[in-house]
Amino acid sequence: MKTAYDIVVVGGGHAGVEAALASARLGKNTALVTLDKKAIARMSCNPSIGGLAKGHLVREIDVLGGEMAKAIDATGIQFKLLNLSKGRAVWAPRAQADKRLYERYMQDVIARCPNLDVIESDVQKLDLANGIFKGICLQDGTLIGASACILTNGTFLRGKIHIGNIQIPAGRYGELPSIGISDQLKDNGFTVGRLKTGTPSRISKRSIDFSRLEIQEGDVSPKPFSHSTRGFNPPNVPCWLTYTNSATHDILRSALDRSPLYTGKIAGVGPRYCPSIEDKIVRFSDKLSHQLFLEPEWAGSSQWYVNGFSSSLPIDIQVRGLRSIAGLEKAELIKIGYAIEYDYFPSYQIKRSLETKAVSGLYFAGQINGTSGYEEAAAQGLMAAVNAVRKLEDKKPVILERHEAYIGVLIDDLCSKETSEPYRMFTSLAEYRLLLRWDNAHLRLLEAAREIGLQSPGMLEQFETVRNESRAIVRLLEKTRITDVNPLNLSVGQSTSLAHMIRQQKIDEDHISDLQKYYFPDYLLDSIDQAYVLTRYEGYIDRQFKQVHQMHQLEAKKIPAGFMYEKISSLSNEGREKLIKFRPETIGQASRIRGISPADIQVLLIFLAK
Amino acid sequence: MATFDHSDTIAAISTPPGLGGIAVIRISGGDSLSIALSGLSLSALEPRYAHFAAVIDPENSEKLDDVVVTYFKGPASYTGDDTVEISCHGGLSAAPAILALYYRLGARPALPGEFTRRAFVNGKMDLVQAEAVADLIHAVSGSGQKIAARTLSGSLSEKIDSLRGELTDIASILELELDFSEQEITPISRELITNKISAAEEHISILANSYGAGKILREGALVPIVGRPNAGKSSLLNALLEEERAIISHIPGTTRDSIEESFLHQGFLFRLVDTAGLRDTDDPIEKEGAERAVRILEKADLVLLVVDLSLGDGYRFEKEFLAARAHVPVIAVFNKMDLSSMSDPFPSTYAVHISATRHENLDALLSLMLDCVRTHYRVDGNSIAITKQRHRHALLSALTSLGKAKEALIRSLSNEFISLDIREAIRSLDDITGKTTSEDVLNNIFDHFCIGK
Repeated sequence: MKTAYDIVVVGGGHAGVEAALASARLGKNTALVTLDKKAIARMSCNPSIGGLAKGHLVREIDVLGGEMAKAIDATGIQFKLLNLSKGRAVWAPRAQADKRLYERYMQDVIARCPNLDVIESDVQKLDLANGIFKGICLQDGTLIGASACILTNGTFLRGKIHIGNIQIPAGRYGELPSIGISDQLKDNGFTVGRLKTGTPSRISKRSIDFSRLEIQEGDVSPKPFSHSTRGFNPPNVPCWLTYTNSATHDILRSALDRSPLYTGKIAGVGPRYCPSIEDKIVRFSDKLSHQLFLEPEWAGSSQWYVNGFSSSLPIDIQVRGLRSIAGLEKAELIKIGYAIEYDYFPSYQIKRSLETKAVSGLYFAGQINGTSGYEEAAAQGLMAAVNAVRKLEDKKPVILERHEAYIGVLIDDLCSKETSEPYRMFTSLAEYRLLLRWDNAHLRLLEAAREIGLQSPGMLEQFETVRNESRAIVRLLEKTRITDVNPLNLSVGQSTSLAHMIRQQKIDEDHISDLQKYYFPDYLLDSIDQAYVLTRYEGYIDRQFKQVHQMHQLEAKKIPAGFMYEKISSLSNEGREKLIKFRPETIGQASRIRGISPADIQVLLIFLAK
Repeated sequence: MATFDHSDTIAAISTPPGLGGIAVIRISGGDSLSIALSGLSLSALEPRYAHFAAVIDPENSEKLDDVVVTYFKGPASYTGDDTVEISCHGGLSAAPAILALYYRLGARPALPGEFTRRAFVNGKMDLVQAEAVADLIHAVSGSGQKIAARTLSGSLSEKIDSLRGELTDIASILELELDFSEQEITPISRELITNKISAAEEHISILANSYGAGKILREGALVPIVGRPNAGKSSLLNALLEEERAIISHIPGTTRDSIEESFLHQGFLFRLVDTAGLRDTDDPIEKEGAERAVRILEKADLVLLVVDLSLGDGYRFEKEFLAARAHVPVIAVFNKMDLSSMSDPFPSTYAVHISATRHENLDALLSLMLDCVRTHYRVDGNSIAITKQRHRHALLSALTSLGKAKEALIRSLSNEFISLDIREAIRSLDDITGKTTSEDVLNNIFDHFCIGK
């Protein structure tokens, strides 16, 4: 076994996979250290990828050269574009995954990837010297030297599972936790926090009475996540819907005294957007019924995921609760739902490159930063590896701005907000939401993708063609006249421009392929689509660009790393405290930290202007 | 949030607030020259020369004041940017009116310390001076809050918070359907959203309009005294001034040759103006006086209509005057009660009988004046009013954003577009209080809706 690498990635979840692949593909000798090779890229919780804002992240990962989009395209069993009744910016792709195929796909890609070794072991300790990362020490005492390390430990750091009154040290159900690193980092000055998340029970397919459930199918002509996917023709396996009722609620309520949530056994804070079923019935007691989705974990799966029934109540209660629900009267448990507590490092301790402020060469990605979700983790894993590689090559980190990418919003939020619960991406967190569309990730991130160097030259060229063509078509749409006699069979009245018809919503989404057919046959459909969106939402898009421009001055204004806030007496006390804690890299970032007033920002500007 | 944007042109009154003889309005930034000229009777300004000019509202060609204008071309100016300084008449109405005009013409209100910050950035000050300014920024906002607390019972920021809460609720409803559309959510009708926006609009405009009340608190109530010749206008003016000893000063009014006399009564400043010759006439001198009177009446907060009880004629002039002035409270002051025992010769919402020469019943008149101002402008001790143009400006832009939101609703645009407008409105309110909390919408959703699978 080799004992020296450029970069080691600790953890084989969704952050670790993207990190290891990016690092190796960028030419660095990379080791992926994981407790269990066969658990690489495992979906610990729901069997799906994408969704609102998360789907945007996956598209961005794809454009920047990550793997997640390709993996789900290859292994998804149901695809759906969400929010189609809304505007373009909030459309989002989502897919049900075949968990087994997904793991296998990723493990296979990793096995075939040059420069990448997988080491099956637990990391006992990091080798740190004077705030610089030197290497890792494995369980058996082997020392592996490396220039950079990306920690992606997920829920494994001092992981503890709760089921009723029972507590089991574990990283996932049936998998051992990782103990050593937390304490060592604490000793090195890191602040450690505790978060909680949960997962619902899995039940056997044979025990479900599907006749009592509502069916939910995917799109008939689905769209792939990845720009590289060709000949996309995935299966369309349905999910099923059912509802809890007052009997269910009574059963769950009767056992709250055995819930670790309410008996104080769980200290970590759970996500409000993903509450356990007992939390829902307590907090929203007036709601008499809650929706549950039954999802297969893989195609032809005998194991079904009960989405919406996350719980840490004792096993007998979970079973009785399930059996009170329509269609689940004979439900048989395969895996029990549980809550899990784990260590994380509040994310004001990292820079926007995802490198820790305290230890040079040490990067954090995924749940270790207090985030939740496969997509959020993958995005961080990718960016951490890109920036770790760039540091080794003496290049400046790639920092995506808030108006460029959801990834930018995610990482900026991590560096300027205090996480009190696991952080999840929402479209409402993006103030430039109308610019960050699912459909234009390749245009927004073209320069970044080129700079990073993971995307293929062929794809980059295609992205650039779309960008140039769409700009040209925007102009052509203004110039091209349309009269009452037209191939789109539209009633026009007085002769007008195509652009005008689009803004009047007389030419809409359904006409885009006709626009290509009759007006722009020499252009790519994607280019026409982009030009359509830019024309249709012109006024709003302009407004958003204006907002970006207004903030630009502040975003561009850098604060030196060792800036002495202590010496500025005219800062408010709270402002000074927060600035010392977060050490924002720019004034823009400083302005987003809660507790920092506009007056504080003005004072900072005065001092930085010298 | 409020941020310094260097590319804007900013304007503010840069003399201390109060009753000085001259007020200076400073306009600074790249477009200051063109913006200044658009409201002046001149077509060019030579740098560093004092020009005599008139400030004229280009919309209605109304002259606001005669002024002296000086243009300082950057970098030879206080800020280092192109700067125009306009010296106008002091007192309480000329400078704010000119400033409001320039906000309309493209300047934005300067933030506290902003002229100085620009000066610093442009290398016109050293760090020690800049530090002093930095301290001042906090000191100013601190004392500003104290003033607000004193005059407005400290509840302005509470009021803004509650308006902000209304808007956050609307944003939450809109976001709920965007970020959680996969879940069982009862869609909220667009009509309801429109109604909620309308309600918020109404609440915000009440506050924006309270600028009038705030203005009365800050600048006093302008009270013209009108009436036919010999009705006793001058006697009344003198009687009131003699009665109330707290005479402050003689202030040149907006039209320079009419004289305002001010006095404080129970904490309120009343600015009395004697208008001569308010009647149709062909005499050119009287005609000018009449026109002047009309202008003052347009700005009046309260009118004292002096009526000679002893005449006992048809009182046509008075009746017509009352009928024409529905928008401003008018007190019919039936004078010379010592000479006639006649009761009210015509009906009027507010009326009082006095004798100006004998100082009879002046107390009743004074308390009626106070009541009128209080009820009409809601300046009782409990109501919340804004006193700063900057606040009014922020509230008006919030209203503009809400207007856009309603327009977007009419056009059946999707929630994310309406949300953009609502968030813009929230940001405008945040400019007043200096808050920056972008997660509020999500927090609000989590608190009120059962979300999560």
